[in-house]
Amino acid sequence: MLANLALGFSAFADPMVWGALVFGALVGYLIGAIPGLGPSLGVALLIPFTYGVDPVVSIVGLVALYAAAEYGGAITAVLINSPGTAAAVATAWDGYPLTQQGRAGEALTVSIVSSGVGIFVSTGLLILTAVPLSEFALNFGPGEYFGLALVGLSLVAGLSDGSPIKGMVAMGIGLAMATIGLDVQIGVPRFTGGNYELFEGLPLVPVLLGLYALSEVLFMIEDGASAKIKSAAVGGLTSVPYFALKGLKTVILRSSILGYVIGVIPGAGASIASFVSYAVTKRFSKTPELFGKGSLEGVASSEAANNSAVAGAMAPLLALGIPGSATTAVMIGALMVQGIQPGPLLFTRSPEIPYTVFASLWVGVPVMIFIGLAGARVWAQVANIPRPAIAAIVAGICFVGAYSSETTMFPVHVMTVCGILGYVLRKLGVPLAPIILAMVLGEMMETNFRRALISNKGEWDIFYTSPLTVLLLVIAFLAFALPGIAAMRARKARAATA
Amino acid sequence: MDHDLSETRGWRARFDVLRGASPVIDLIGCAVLFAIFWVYLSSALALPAPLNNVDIGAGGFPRLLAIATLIAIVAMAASALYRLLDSVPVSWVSVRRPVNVAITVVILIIQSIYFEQLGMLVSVLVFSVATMAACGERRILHLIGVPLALAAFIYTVFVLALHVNLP
Repeated sequence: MLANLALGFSAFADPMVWGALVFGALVGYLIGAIPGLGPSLGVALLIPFTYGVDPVVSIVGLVALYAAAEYGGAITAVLINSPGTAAAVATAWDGYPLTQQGRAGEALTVSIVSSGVGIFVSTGLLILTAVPLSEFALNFGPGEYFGLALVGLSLVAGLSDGSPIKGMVAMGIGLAMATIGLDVQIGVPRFTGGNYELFEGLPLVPVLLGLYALSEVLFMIEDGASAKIKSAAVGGLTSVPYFALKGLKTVILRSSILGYVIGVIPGAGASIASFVSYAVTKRFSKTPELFGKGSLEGVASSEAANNSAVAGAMAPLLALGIPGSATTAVMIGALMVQGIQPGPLLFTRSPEIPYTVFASLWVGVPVMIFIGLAGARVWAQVANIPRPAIAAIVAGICFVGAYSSETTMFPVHVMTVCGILGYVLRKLGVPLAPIILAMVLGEMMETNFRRALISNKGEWDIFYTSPLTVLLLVIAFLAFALPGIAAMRARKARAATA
Repeated sequence: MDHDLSETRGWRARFDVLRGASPVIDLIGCAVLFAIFWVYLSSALALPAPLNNVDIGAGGFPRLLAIATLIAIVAMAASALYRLLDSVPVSWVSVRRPVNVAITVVILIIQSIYFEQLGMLVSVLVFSVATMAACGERRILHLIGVPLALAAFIYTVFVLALHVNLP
């Protein structure tokens, strides 16, 4: 493991890798600081810039963007009470009151340092858990792989925004999109309508760009040209006394571990990590009355947890090939563009990829803390970039990115259709993350489903005789059932009070 | 839309927001999705039979998928009907500036058709201005500066640095 880790760090001998790290971090901060644009959109938009670039350089840039977007979300949350990402909502609860008290610098320093420590601790946990997990997964048969993919999808669909039923419909849409093209086993064209361009299936990158980025353009059109937001003055960025940060070490450490564990669970993600961590910290705090009124503990817990969740989400992606969040689903698409297939074999066939990810998360910590603190005043102004300009830039990159993926017009048409479809589905409250996840995992799911049946001579008992497969299928069922029951109970309670 | 407001503020105000009850919108969405997945199921049933007894063939997995999704769509419709008839007030789905959204959809479709014929530079310049204008930008300097900067950025990165063959 240490030799492989050294291999990961050795990638930083290449100046291009440093360039990718800094570029990814800058773009990530920019995306994270703009309310409404999240890391998923950022990673999707960065994919076209990785065409023809070395895979290691690409993955460092993408990971840096993902992590920095979570850092960046906190800056606007603290300064203008407008969280750049959903995961920074809990940060705003205490960060903005601190700004109102003239302590914006303190809040920003604590948020950025907590984020850095969160990433540092969780990367250590990622290294300790991902490798054994990948070794364990090498023993999986097709039944277990099918169950695993179903669990990943069900958790994301069941826990996503909106109702679990809509999550299930989204999963169906994504899987149906994944079945378009030649059948992988007998080569029969399916659902292509005779269009030979669909024989290889729907191209993933244009679908990602359309669903995540182009649909966002239509939401920006709805917002129109917004008014400027007046941000508070940022002073005393390095004025946080050392003892104050030292006093937060337990909070940061606990939140980092909690954030990592929650991040590993597919579908849970950075937002849930930050909310749970905030609640736990408040419960154990000696000054719970300060929460919501300007508690540094609140800021630290939320930020440490949501950044730890970034490393947590990497564990199932790298070790099992199962993306656990929308952003990692987009990232798996980026890896596939580079010809990299995440999963247990990645650690033996291309160890430089996962270990460079680990190294880049660690190396990225001081870089991101520096960029965050040095550019705090600039990031605070990013929210004032006119929406029409952002809409035009996103649309322009989408079209050029889609065309560049195959240098034909077909991906451009796919991207446009997916952009409009994504807008309509979001209006209907159908989450997009399960669609992307299902598209990414669809072929693997179907192949393993059929392999399992063939290996068992067509008998279906393979899905209920293996204890691990049964466990996975039960988890998949509960992933839909439990949030559904909870939603029904909440509705009954609302009806009783109405 | 408020009646008095519509009389005083003209057509822009009258069509500033399109709203529909969430369960009704869900029911319409369910009807469309049901039709799509019904066609999908029919196509799956028409796929060739498996080559042997142990495989489910090219259409086996899509058939299972279509049936599961159709059940989910029916459940979504049932949930929408329940919400419609329930005593809890329904939520609303709204589209702000629907005329601008519709214009942008048309702009995107036209751009996707003519992107290759116009070439990257012209396409980015023309359609960026159109998108910004649809988004409400009226400052001439922004309408000229942003598309020029974007086109230059794309040309530098994709053509000069990444050597992508753009039209």
